[in-house]
Amino acid sequence: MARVRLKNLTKHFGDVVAVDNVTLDIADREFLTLLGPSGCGKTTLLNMIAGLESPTAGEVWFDDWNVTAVPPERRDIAMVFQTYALYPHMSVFDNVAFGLKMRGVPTEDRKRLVLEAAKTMEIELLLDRKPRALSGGQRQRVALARAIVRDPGVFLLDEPLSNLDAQLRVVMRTELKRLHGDLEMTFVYVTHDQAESLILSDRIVVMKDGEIQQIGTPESIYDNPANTFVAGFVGSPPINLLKGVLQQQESAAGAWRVVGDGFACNVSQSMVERIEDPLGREVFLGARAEDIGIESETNPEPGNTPVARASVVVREPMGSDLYLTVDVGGSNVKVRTRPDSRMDRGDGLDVFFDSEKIHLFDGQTGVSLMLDR
Amino acid sequence: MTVLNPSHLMSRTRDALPLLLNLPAVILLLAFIAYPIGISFWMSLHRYNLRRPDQVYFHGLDNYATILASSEFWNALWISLYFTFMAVLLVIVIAMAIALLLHESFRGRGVVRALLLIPWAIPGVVNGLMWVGLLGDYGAFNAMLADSVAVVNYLFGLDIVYTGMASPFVALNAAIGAHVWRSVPFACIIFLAAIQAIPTEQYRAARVDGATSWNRFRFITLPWLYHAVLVVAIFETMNGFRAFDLIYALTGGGPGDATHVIAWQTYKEAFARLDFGGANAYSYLITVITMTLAVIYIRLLYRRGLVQG
Repeated sequence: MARVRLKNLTKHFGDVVAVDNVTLDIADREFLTLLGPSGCGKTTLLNMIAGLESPTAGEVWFDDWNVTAVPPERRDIAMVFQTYALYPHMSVFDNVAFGLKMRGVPTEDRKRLVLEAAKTMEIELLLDRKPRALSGGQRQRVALARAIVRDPGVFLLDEPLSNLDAQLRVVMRTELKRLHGDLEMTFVYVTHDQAESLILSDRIVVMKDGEIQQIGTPESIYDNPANTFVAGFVGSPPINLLKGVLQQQESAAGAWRVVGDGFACNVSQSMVERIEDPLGREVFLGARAEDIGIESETNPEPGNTPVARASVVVREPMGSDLYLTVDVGGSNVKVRTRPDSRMDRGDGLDVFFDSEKIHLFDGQTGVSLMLDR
Repeated sequence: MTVLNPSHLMSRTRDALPLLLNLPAVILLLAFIAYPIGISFWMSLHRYNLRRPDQVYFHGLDNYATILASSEFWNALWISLYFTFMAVLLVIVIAMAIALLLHESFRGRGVVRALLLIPWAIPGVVNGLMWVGLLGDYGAFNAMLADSVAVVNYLFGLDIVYTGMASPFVALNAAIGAHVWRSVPFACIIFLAAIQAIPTEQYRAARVDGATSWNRFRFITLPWLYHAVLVVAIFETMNGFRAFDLIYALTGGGPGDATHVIAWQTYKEAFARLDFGGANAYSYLITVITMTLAVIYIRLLYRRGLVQG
């Protein structure tokens, strides 16, 4: 059990700034995910929490203990690596027991603890095997057992699922969530897979170029992305972004619209009120595939005027859903619709956006205009 | 009616072509490797002494029996075993220490790595002559050793007589030292390559598991180097048993028979006694010994299997 606090943490590798002034408070027993594309500094940040990298500036605190200069072997942590890093010349038992042995736990206790951890991870029958005789999923379980056996305060996971095939990844994802529920440890989890982060986390930290872009619960990140990067990175398929200009209509009681190439989308008054200098402002209009309706099928508000006239470019059936990529004024827009839709390549259709669910971002900086100022 | 099948003909030519292309290499191998090995064995079964050229005749395993019954052979074998054992041990320990150092990053590491290769590039005879210069009567090392012995004698009231390379003990161990000096670079390169192949995450995992730097060496580095150590051990064992040129230049087998390693004994049989039958039997005994050791090592290598997980 431990609360982890990062204070102005910075890491330079030569001229490259890997992590830039990150301040973060991770609650005890929280499941926190560091999410970002490769090279965003998330693994470096994790390594600094582990003590495997020393920060250029800033501090790491575990509860009331400044561990910035404490080597990893003396921190109360366990870590699971992307490649599992099992010791190939040791049996599964010895792999799991290694940390206990290094910490001088007596043989009897060691045996008991290893068996407990093995039971939790359901690897009791593999204890005599060498890692090379295990499948990817089994190795992953051994790596997890090795980490939980010491009952650490902080559990660090560096892309632990990325070496597994897609099906196994889903299984282990559930397993991890169960583990977090059972263990009452603080989990810090690094991934580039936004789906993983949404499913597993209590909170997500979205990173890019060494900087934190947004911190929040999976729902808040998904529903209120702080900028176009977060909006595009979290969610599958990525959010549709269309460039346009905010305009006020002469008629229709001065209603506001975003107008761009081939589309015009109504914006609610409450939304506009949050925006500074709305008139003529360049914006990105963001709409998720599920918030877009098409002609006569999932029009959220009957009688609404369509945002655009579009034509289908690609049809992608996904079983439970059907995704259509449509052309709106030269931009591709992804639309989710019912799988029984007959729409296919070349068909024309009307596109409706759910005006309550659209997002507006600054046309220059990409920063959300919807968050409370 | 017989029908000529052109595709059949084609496949015939296709089968013959690879053999034909390999023929030059096969002929060379037969002429320069198989033939000498064969003729050498054949000669070892003969009485074949150049001092009695008129009395060349087949006498079966007589040469082997004579050698195995001679004290010279057993003396040479023990010296060779001691020489080889010490050489293998020292090469492994020293080369591993240097490889671990060279794995760390420091300024000028590239230059040091390149310099390390120099002893390896020096021919054995030249190496021997160089050590003669250092350890001979007027050599710097010799003077230092003599002075050190004098100091030790004075400090501890001892009475050790230092006779330099005239002492069997000094001569044999000096030969081992010179041999090790020349052999370390090769072993070092093998170790360095093996160390570099260890994934860094192994060390990270071990650190998180609480392993101290000694334990990381003991439980991560060493097991990962098991293969490399065996490879070096095989090479160095063979080299140790076959050491000749260095001995020839440095000690000439002396003082007395103190550095009569088995390869030297072979040389003596052939070129001092001109007993080619006996010398070839010696060569075959060396071959049998080194092959036996190699087989043992290789079985160890395979029993442990591949280290990679």
